[in-house]
Amino acid sequence: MRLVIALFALLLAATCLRAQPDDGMLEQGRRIYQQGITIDGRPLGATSAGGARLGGQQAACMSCHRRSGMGSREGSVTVSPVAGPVLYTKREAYWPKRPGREAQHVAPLRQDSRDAYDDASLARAVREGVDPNGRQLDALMPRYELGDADAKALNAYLRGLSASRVPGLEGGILHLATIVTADADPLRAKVVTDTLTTWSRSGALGGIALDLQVWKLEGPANGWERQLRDHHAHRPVYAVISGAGRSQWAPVRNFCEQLALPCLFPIVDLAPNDAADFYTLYFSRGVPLEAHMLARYLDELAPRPARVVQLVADDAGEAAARLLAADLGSAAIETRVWHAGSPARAVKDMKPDDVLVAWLRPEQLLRLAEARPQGLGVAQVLISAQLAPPEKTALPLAWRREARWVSARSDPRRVQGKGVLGLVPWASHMKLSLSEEALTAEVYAATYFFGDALARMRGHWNREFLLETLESAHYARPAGSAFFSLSLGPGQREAAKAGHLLGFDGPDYVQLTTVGPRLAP
Amino acid sequence: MGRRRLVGGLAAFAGVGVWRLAAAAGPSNVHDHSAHMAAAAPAEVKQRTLTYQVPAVTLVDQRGRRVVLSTALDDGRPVILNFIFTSCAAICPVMTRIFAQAQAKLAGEANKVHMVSISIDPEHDTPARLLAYSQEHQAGAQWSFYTGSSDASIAVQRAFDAYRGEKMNHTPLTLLRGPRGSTWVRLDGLASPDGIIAAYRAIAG
Repeated sequence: MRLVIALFALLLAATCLRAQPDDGMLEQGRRIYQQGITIDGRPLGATSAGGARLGGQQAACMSCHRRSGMGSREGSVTVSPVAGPVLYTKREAYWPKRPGREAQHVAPLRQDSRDAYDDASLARAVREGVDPNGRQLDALMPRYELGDADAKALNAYLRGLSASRVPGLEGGILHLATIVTADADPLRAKVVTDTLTTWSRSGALGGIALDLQVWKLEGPANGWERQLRDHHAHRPVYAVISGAGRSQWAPVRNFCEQLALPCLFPIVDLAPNDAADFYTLYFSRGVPLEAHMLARYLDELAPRPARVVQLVADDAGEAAARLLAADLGSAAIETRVWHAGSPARAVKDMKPDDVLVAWLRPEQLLRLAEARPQGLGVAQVLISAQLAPPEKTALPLAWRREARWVSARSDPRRVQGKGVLGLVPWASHMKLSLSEEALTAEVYAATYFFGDALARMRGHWNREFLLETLESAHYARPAGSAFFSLSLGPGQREAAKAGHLLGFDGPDYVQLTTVGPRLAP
Repeated sequence: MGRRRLVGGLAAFAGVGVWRLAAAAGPSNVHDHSAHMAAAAPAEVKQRTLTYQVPAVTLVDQRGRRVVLSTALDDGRPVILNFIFTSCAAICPVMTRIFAQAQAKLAGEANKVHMVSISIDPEHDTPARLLAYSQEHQAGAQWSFYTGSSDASIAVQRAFDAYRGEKMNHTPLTLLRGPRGSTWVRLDGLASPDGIIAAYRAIAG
């Protein structure tokens, strides 16, 4: 590992010795690469396979070669890496050194090796689709109308792409952080920090030494970005892994996006959603997914409920209620605020044909249930599993019989079944208790997919490539079983996309299971 | 016996090697002569005529309307169909561009065809995302984008022998059919707009 890092450093040093292009030219190159806009501001034109004309963003190099320049793979198509350290270096065919599981019993393809590109051969490849050895590139690579000044700017940009030193990786130690916000539930914070601390000391990443910082944020949320910058100035890290938040995640998201710092799979009830997000990745953004799933479910209910009432008590609940009302149309749903002083007042007038949606925490639900121990006797009681997980909410029998939870998490039997293949042996190896199985499973999933991505990156450490590698991970593996369904794709930032209704079943209604249809927004 | 088996094994091995070399060298040799041309290399397209039964699964179009696929395809128009997903980086944008160009080349005739793009990432491709994607590519009213449950999407992919297990494993494919029946023209590879129109003319008569 150290040898790889040392070689990488040497390569970087060699790259740095070249004459530095000015920032203006790099920005021109970036616009060609990322946006498909030429130096004179016109959309970059190109012809693709089958004669399809492409222009502008559709023709941007980044669409296929990705932000990192490390390329991609789709079906039988391999998009070659074009990042400076790879592109301007001779590529040798890979021959396994000794037979073993990795050995390939066929000769490497001729295309696997090529001479190093230089400025002229790169321009020719982009315009004519020919590599430095005169071989035709794949038909999918468009042929571009690229001016000489554009070619120069593109070369300058590519030479620097993914070529700078990766922060947080020094002396063979990979520095990571996790973030705990001041509003996070103490139990969630404890499970996240305990699990990650144990993991970071376990040598689980194939011999890479890990150093984990726990960044605890204090005071009001408007001071968190500054605290994060101070932490990061003191100890730069490669990535932020997992984390414990509640409903104020925007400062963390802003910090990570601004510093180009991967922020991977925090556990939060409400995360901001911005189409421009690149560095922040979630298993679930929390209640927004539940709200969108409920909207579709309620919209398709037959017969239509006489009335839908939703109860909110805090900012996460309010945000969810706004999304649900926006999806359904505000005339179709009534939003009420739950009060601790009179927990049942908001449901006093509810009738048998009504539907109640509860965006409440466990303690608030329990207060409501104490006030109405015989249940509500309405058509449906739908509870947010994000805010009040069913296994954490000890409701009386009448409520267990009546209530159902909208959830993007798995049926506990599936978690336990799949856990035998992942979480259970992992926790046992780490000597970790599984008393908080659901939370531990989410932290485990974050560490698993992070380690899996690092292994698949084969020594290319740049952080954009990390995000791109995580986009194409196989989230159906047992490590992802805490969720009903996970998947990502290029540019996607929330892996949970569907869910179901969970409820209690069996004698005395103590067995938690799937009781409703598959739900999707 | 032992020797015969060994020889057979060697022959098989050599056969594999030859095939592999041919596969590696073939396209390069073909294109070496045109290396200085700026035009795009023609993609190799394999055309076959096959029989497929369209499953009666329920899908949702880009405007949120529920349809039964087999019914939607039997509306009296010829069908041009592909599989895409909106976040796909390399292949689908080109396939969608090609459909858009075929649509433009058909001009006034386009509304007599039913163009269909079915998402193979249905959980991410909500109707709203498909609508935005269709608008981005100037899709006309004759071009439907369908999503649905994962199971429904997989059922359709399987019915057309297009299921590759994982969305990132998909390969370029275009399918065409006359107004009804179960005989389809299958184009494996990146078919050009002209290639699609030629196949369409052949089936539409």
